[in-house]
Amino acid sequence: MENTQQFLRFLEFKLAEESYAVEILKIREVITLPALTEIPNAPPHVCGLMNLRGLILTVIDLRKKMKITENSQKEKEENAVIVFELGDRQVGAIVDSIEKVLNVSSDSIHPIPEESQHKDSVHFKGVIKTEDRLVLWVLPEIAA
Amino acid sequence: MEDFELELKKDFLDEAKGLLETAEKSFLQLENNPTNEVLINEIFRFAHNLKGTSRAVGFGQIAELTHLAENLLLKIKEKELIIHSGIMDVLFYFLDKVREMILGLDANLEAIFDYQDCLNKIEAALSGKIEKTDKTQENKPSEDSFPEEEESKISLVKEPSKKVKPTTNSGAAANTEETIRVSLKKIEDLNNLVGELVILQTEVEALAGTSGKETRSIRSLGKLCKEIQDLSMSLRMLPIGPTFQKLQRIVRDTSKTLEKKVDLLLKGEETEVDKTVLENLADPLVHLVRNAVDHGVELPQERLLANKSENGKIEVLAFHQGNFLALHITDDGKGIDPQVLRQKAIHKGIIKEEDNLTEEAMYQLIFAPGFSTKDQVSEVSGRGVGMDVVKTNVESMGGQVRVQSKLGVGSSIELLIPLTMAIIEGMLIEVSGKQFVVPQSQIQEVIKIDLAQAEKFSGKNPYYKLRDLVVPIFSLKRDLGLDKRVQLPPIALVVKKGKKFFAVGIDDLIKQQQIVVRPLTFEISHMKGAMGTTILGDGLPSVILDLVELYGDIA
Repeated sequence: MENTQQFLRFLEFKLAEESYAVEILKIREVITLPALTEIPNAPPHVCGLMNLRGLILTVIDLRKKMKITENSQKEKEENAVIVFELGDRQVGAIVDSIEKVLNVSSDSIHPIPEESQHKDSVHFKGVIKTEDRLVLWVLPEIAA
Repeated sequence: MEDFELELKKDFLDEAKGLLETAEKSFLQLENNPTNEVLINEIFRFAHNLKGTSRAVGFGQIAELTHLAENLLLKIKEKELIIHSGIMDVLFYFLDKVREMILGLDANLEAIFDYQDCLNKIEAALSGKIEKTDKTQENKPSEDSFPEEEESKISLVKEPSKKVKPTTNSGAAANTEETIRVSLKKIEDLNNLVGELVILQTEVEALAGTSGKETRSIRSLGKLCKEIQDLSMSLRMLPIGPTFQKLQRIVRDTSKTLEKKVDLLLKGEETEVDKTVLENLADPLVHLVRNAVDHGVELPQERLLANKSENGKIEVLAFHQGNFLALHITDDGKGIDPQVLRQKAIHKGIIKEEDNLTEEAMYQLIFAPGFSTKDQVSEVSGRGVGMDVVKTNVESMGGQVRVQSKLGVGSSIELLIPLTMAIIEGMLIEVSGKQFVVPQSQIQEVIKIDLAQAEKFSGKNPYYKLRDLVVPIFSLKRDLGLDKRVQLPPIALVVKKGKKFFAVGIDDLIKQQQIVVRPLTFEISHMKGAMGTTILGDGLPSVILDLVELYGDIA
């Protein structure tokens, strides 16, 4: 990060009580969970196919994809689907709830502490520090 | 680079690609009619035009090369230079170089090319240092070389005077109908939207029921939707002509290398076919035609000995057959000996000595990977790659290849390919409460399961007696992982792979309908037994199953 202050816009969402954020530019849209068509013999994190105004997309369960098991028994109140842009394709990811849009200046973004890195951390870009909490910045590739 | 400059360059390249195709056609015609002034003028204008516009948009390399070629053409036009095979070769060389440059610039606007050898060749032609290249001709070139020239040439389309001229004229006439260029993306978007419209219309029709005042309006709307759909689909359809045109060049070059004489007859150039299908078809066609020249047509002396005309004939015929495009590539060459194929295949370990093959099955051996009957690997073909690619390509488009041949008389390879890959007839089926689509083309028949006809051998899949056949019967429910219990289904689809039949048990048939095929999403692109997705009348996506892929190996 340079000294010149830059602002980035994120969408904050929750998975099992944890806060995550994705750059708004990487999001095509956010919708409520539509009816899905299950896919036979698909991996467990693949929930099915949805029809987004004529576009057929795979919908995945981001909790399962990220192997978040803790608290997962807790009722998912308000399932929403974030449609991520992944290069020339899109994928829908089910999250527990959509929080809000964050306007973040570049100096409140911090690198991931080395000791907490693991193999999935390549998709973790940094930690966003807000007034009252920490939010993990994830890349849309997390859903790929 | 400024935007408008970029646009100018791109426009030029687009236009030049079209010009090249027309020019190639004229060049090929000129080769057969070296004195035809109309053709010479046409080609001269092509070069002149290309020189001017390429210089105007800043492609100096093309301008320089074309300028020199224009000088050569001017000499020909002014009858200071007589066209012969050597000069034709230089002209073709020039054309190929320009094409290479244009395609190169299309990929990279700053591309630099080495065209010195081409300049040298044209210079040599200008100074009269180029000699005839026809090897079949024994006597040294003489001043007045036309009559022999005509004979020694391979002539493409034997009745050029009748056939070629009208094409040039009608081409010009057809252009008077106004046209606009539209990006393919727009047409694809339109097709997708119209697909949606049709789906929505079926939804509305289902909601409205069968009585009431609305029904009539909805029906009319349905008819209109269907018409719009047909029209929007037709926008993707292109005539096969330009693809055919490339074959002329292939035949010219291949027969020249092999010192054969071949007349190529193209029929049905106006036949229209989906753009994607057309693109996938180009390579197989080239392979087949090249193969016909190499393996089919005999050398001139052999032909004469066999009481045939010196010039071999290859006919490429395209026509519509229902919802299919039929393409026949026929030669009057030596034909294929099925027994030779058989021996070769046994030798190569493709089949076993004791295998009993039908004649058709023996012909199909030419498509086996690694199969090549030519003992010598030639420059043209004979590496055993190609023919298997032809079959794979055609089958991946849902098409079929058939071979017919008569020893000493010739061979014919017949392709049958769906006109468009975007819409298929599908059967909507239900398995464990879920709906899937199976292409109608895979279903031979639908049978009601009679428990008395089923038998289970220990540890194996059950078999079912279907009249005089005993076929394996699979449970789609179990194999899609939807239900672990093993039980006989109430209904089964009979599917055929090659000569084998098998039955696939399902819960219910819903209905037959037209299906707009969408690709598989990335995440399920490797799913075995799935060929695509679609959106059903209720707006939900569904998977289009490929039962041949799912069961073909184990049946």
